[in-house]
Amino acid sequence: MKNDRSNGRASSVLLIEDDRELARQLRADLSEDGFEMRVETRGPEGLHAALGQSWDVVILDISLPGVNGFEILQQLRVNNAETAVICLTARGEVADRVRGLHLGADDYLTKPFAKDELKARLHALLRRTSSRRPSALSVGPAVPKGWVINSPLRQVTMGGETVALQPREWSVLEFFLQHEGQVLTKSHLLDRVWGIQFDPGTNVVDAVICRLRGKLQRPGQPSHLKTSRGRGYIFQRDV
Amino acid sequence: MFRTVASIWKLAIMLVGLIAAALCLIWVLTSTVLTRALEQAGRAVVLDDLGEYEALYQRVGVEGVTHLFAAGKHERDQFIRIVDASGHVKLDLRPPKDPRFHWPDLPITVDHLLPGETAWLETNLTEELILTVGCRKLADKAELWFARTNAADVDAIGQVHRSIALGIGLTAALAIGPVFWFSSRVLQPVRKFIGEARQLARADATVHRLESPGAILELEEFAQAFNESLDRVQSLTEELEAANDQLAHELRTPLARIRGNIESILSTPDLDVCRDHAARAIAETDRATQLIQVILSIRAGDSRTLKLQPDRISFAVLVAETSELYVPAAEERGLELSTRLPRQDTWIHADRQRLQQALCNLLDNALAYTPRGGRIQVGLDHNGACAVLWVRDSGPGLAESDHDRIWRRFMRGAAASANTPGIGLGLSLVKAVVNAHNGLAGACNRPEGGAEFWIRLPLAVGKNELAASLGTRQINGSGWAIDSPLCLDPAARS
Repeated sequence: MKNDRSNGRASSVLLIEDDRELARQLRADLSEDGFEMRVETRGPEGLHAALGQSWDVVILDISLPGVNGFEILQQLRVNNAETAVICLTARGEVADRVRGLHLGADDYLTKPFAKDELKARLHALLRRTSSRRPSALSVGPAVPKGWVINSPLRQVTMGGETVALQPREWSVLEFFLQHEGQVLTKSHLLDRVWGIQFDPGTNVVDAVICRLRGKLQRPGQPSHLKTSRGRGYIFQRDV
Repeated sequence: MFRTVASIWKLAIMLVGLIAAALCLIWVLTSTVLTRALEQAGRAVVLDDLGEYEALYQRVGVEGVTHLFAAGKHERDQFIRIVDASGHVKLDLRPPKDPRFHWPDLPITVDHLLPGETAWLETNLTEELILTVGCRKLADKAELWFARTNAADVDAIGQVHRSIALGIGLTAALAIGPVFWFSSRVLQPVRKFIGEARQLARADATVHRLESPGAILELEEFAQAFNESLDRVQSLTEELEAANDQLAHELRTPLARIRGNIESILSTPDLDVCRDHAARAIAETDRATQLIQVILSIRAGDSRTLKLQPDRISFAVLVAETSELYVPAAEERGLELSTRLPRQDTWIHADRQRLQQALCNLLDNALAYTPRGGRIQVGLDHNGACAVLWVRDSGPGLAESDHDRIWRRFMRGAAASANTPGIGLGLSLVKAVVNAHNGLAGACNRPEGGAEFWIRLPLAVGKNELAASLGTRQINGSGWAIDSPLCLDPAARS
């Protein structure tokens, strides 16, 4: 997905991160994905850049030299309520997460994180802040051909065969449909579907996906829900 | 400059100064008051004696006066003189020859006095010796002179002054006692503390302790409190060192695996094999990240510094949602996972994430230790002012040696095999989280086989929200405040 914005231009992303290696990796990765990247490695310059022009998304490290991320976030929100902000932090404390969200962060990621998860969150934010697209489930292009979805009954009809999903399975499918074509990591799914921000140990997500895949798969046909080894899962409309 | 003087000298100087000042004050006050009182008493004596001698003179004449004066006790400092109307001295009695005692150089008669009236005069015989003279006109126009020196008063005041001086000397001598006491019981121990504290700063802090034999009670208490703090610092340091060692050790394993996988990626031309190694490396990285997070949480929980985001949450909903998450995984392993929840809702004040993490660890354990075909039950009960969550399995149960061991870091139960996932931190985390919530966690074997793990937490207050401060005071159904240790009795467990 090169362009997220409705007008077709590349999304502008400001990355404020003091770790040069991580900044380099993210710049390379996100540029390759079609984002227009600018990187600042110090707090004051980061703040200046954040306030200096309009960004689609600011990726903000919390522990920065000079001015810390919380201060930048505060300043940014005073001047501009629109820009989407994802906070990055090495501290996994819930208190930090809560503080960041209170100050107006749109999302929060704890280091180390999967780049796929960052990208998925970026896209989600961009979707949210650009044209208010109707829910992916109604008539959205994400739904595979031949599927009919009945949201109130949590039913999916595929080629005449109707499958009823349990509430949580439904939430997982809904999340996949909203992120069609993107790799979703287990931690991202756990966070967004179950509200869990830790590793629950047992392969609970794998088991849930496995069961969902079983329900959604038609004999002799490839599954739309694929495993990306070492990364997570991806839902593809066309297989 | 006074700062540089040793405390003992300061104390001595201050004590001596204080005693001297107090005694000087006593000296001056006593002298003033005594002198004034004796002056007044002296006048009264003169007046009394004038009256007495007047009466005697009128009744018996000069002889009676002479007789009485001779019999009197105060002849040393008393004078008497009778001068008749014509100015002739009829009687003049004075103390034994002493050049200090003499009648003042005055006219022998006082003309303007009427009979019965008294004239007064005071005069210095020497610098300190005062003569008080009273002259009374008698009925026959004769004049009765009676005089008295303050020699006895001066003697008395001198006596008092000598006593005060003796007091000064004695008090000064006795002041050595407190100074000595202060020196031996306070200063010496403090100096010893200073020496020991300096040693602490220089050498191994874990070895030295303050010793205070013979010191005052307060210093003994100080030393005890200080030593207790040192003990705590020592145990924390040791624990931290052990945790660091363990962390380093535990991190080396995933790091070695990550390195191995990356080396394989570098040396393998096959892209699929490379991807496989990369996936393994990522999984190991996640494991290491989780390890760090869990160890930090356990550490914070043990020292009660775990940051909680407490909220009023439904324990039953939390249990239901969490066990639901594990159902597919349990089924995959051929296990039956069922949930038993109470009819009424169970509200507690807890950090949702942390508590769910604890519950996940219990479920994770149950799944890891229960063999295929087994059964896992998760349930919630009310017990007085507490909610008790339990996770029962049909696994091998706990060995005798497991009961304490399993709650310690990096310790795993006897039933763990090399293939059992986990690194032995799950239950430590459960305990840390439950501790931070003022609750209690435990484990036991079930009579029908398998193990039971439980978490006991204080229930949140019903309608009124007085228990917002987590776990300090809880309100039971009757509205009476009770302390949360109600939940600390494991025997009361269902």
